[in-house]
Amino acid sequence: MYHAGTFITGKSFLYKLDPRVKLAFIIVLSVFILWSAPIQVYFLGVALLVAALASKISIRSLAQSVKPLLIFIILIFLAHALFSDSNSSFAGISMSGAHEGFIVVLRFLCLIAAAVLLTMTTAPSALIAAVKYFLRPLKYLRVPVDDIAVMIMLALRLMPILLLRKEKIENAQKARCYDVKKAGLMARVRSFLSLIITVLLAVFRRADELALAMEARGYAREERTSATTMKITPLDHAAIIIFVIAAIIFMALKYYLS
Amino acid sequence: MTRENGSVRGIVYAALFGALTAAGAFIIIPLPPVPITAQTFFLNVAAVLLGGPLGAASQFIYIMLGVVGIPVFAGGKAGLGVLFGPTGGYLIGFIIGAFVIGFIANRKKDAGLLWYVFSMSIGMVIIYTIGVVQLSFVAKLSLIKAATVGVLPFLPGDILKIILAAIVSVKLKNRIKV
Repeated sequence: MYHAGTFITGKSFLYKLDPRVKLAFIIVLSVFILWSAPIQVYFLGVALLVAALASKISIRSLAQSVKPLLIFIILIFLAHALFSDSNSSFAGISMSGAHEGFIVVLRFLCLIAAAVLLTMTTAPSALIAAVKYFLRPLKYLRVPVDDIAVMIMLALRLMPILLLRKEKIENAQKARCYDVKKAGLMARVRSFLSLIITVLLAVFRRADELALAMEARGYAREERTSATTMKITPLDHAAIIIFVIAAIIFMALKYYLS
Repeated sequence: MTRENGSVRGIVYAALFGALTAAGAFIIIPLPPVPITAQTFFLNVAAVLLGGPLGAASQFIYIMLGVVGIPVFAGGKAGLGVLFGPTGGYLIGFIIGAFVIGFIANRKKDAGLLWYVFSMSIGMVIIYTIGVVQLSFVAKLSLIKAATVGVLPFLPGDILKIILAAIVSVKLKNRIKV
């Protein structure tokens, strides 16, 4: 299973930042990307490309994470280009509409690039620790934050198991000469139902076993400790200072431009 | 899900359905003309079988899997940016929708196929509403344009998934104890 945007170990400076700092950066950046003036979007795009190059993330892997969204991007662009309200049009495509669509698409691409930069440079376990750190205030609302972290870990572990189980059953069907492509509509629905029910019953059993095993090992629903330790280093301080200064300049420019 | 009534089993099942919804991005229901992914199918089943709070928790877990970088959002997307992006509203809707579906479905004892279809339809309306509002806001489209891009293409598939999910839920509801 190859997927763009998944963690790859590395040593460049984005890897060395604390996951909490990175997560906070991305949240702020996401808001900036959506609220910036059109000219600033170009600037943000360039800045993200520079950040990617500086942390030795190849442009190719960035492009790959965009590829599955191409149709959606084209749809959004066309919706703006073809249905813009302005009158100056050329062959049904209005120029201001096209530019507007281009900016919307660019904003979208920046969002993806920012997210990919985060997830490619942060191990999932570190990211979960960071998510848990930021969810901590929810404890006062009686949300079991520790349990949520455990659930995310469990789900991470279960996902490949589920996909394997499904593949196994499909192979069993193929071995018995069952061909989905030749089946009629109702037969397809019936085969999907039988496949899904078989998979679900099997994984329910597995989940019951897992719950039993956890209880047997004394899993308690209370404050938990973690193997991942996070530490803010001078590098993080420097990054935070630079980011805050950049953010202030950015907001001042946005105010000046509008 | 509070500390008092949530069991370890509940935790495991919410995680399981979060993982199922995520895996749903890679499970394609082979139907012509457009193959559809099984994600909202699992959302519906999770909500009905787990009930409101745990169903909502399972969808929260699903979104967190995406946030930490597993490409489980529609179209192989991942990351926090997606939540703020044009399609993020649907994902936030998943949590609220799952809660409502579970809540309505469990209002009635011995609920049958029709009741499940009804509660799932209400949930889907909620998900679409939140999704379209965010789509129109982020992509700067009018509400009607946003609905044309963001609802119509998915409606037939979702109706089918609701029916399939209701059938599966009826068959499995006595096999699961949370």
